[in-house]
Amino acid sequence: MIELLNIFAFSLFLSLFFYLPFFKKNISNKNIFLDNNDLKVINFLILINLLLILKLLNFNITQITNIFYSIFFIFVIYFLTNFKKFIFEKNIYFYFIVNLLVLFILSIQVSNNLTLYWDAQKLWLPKAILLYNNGSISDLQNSFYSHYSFLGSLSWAFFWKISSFEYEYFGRMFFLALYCFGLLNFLSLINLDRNLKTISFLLLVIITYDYWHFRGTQEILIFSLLLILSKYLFNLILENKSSKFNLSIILLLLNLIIWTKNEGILLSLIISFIILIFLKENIRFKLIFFSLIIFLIFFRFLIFKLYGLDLDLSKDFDFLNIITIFINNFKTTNIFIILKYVFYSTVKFPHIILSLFFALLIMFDRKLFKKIIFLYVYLFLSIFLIFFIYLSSPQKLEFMVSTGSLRLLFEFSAPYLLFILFFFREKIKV
Amino acid sequence: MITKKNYTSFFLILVLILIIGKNTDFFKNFYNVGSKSYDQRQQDANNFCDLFGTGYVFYIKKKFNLKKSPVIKNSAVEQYWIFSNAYKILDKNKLIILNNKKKISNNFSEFKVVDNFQNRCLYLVKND
Repeated sequence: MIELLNIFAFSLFLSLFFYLPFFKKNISNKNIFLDNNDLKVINFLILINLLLILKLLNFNITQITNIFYSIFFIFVIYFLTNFKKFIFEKNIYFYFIVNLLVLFILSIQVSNNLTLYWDAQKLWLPKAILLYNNGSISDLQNSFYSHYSFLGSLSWAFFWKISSFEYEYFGRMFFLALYCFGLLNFLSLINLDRNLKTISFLLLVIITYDYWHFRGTQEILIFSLLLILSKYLFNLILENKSSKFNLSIILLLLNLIIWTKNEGILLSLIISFIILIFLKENIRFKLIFFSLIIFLIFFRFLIFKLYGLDLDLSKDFDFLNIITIFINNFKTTNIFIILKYVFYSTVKFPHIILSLFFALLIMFDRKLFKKIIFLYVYLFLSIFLIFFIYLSSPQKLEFMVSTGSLRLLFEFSAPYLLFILFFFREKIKV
Repeated sequence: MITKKNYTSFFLILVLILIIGKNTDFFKNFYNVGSKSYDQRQQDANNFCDLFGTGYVFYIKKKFNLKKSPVIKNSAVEQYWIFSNAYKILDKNKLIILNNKKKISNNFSEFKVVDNFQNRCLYLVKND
């Protein structure tokens, strides 16, 4: 019974973490208009990037937790003394309760079905435990796959520690909270009333949620971060809204993606490429943005070198001969094998099938298709990346694809949901 | 003002939440979390004495109230995460052998078998 109360209390804490307005009022002017969801995204990005920076500065998890508690305590005092001056979102209580309820239901499943995936048992949880026990980044040298990015394990350890409960799944509850937040934030792109928005949120949970994603692997984090990023990519390219603000948010999100999984580096290059092509800004502006992305990637490798971690992107690839291997593997039979598994993976996830269905519908409307062509470029590049990854590997292809394609396709799939949202927005004018 | 449209929406929201609850076996999970200990749920969630043998390690941890991890042999992945509060601090006087396929060899002559699951998963403690 006590454990149930603890789960509820931590669900409440995580909902507050994502829903408390850390700002006194909306920061809006002629150039920038921030809605309430943007403020929450900024809260989240500041806190998680701060967590990463403090860890890179070699603070241990206990120290970071103490810093976090201090900030939180100061904020609560500030919040209570300035309560009347805060501008709250109109339906904040309603969304807060819905979010809390869904988070609690999903957390109960995670707390009972404790199965961890092989990768999680072998790679991600040992890293999280090491960090949880106040290990430093250089201690990760002794963990399996020390060349892997570790933000997922770091946030797992951090929220586990912050919960003050001894079970690891409290850390994974943060993955659930981020996922719920990502979905609700994504829906802020369409203009729906409170009830319809809630219904859409619950429908999205029904079609995307599966315990499979929360077995300790990191794909759900990339999915959720990409889902948040999709909104700003959409605003940036389609709505032509304040480039600097949207790009700053995208940069911070890409930074988290780069530090969460190694393929996040390739993903960040794809997103940057799309922005370079479709952003309506001058070349100089685009070059500055691209240089910043390259700097973030370079910085990630620099930190790895500094702490003596392995600099390889993957042990499954021979990077010196990657082109030769790719050319040798570029055979009809191999392409067919990958195609087969990509098809299986697509069928496994209802949200991908639905998104592709709407992508097909949009293709029949030339005007709409032209508007959202950047999304088709993303779809093509993400699928191409899956083919490229497997065709470049010297390992046994069918084994690699059968074990990895599902997860790869899932983590890349968040922006595909924009097809559905865009269709409803344009056709039904929501 | 509560309108008929609002009632319909609330009803739909409630139905969708119930569907999420049903899809995730909410009530069964709720009951299990309330009535079973964490270690028991870990045993149920993982293979007991097959593959990684995670369930067996949890079983031994609970049965003998272990705080430090014994040395664990023959698992496909390291199982020390199960003792997360004393990670990789090993109690070398205790030994868990998983996926055992042969008779306990002379290498372990100084240990005595304290728990034996079908000769496949064993817990041994060093003789005094």
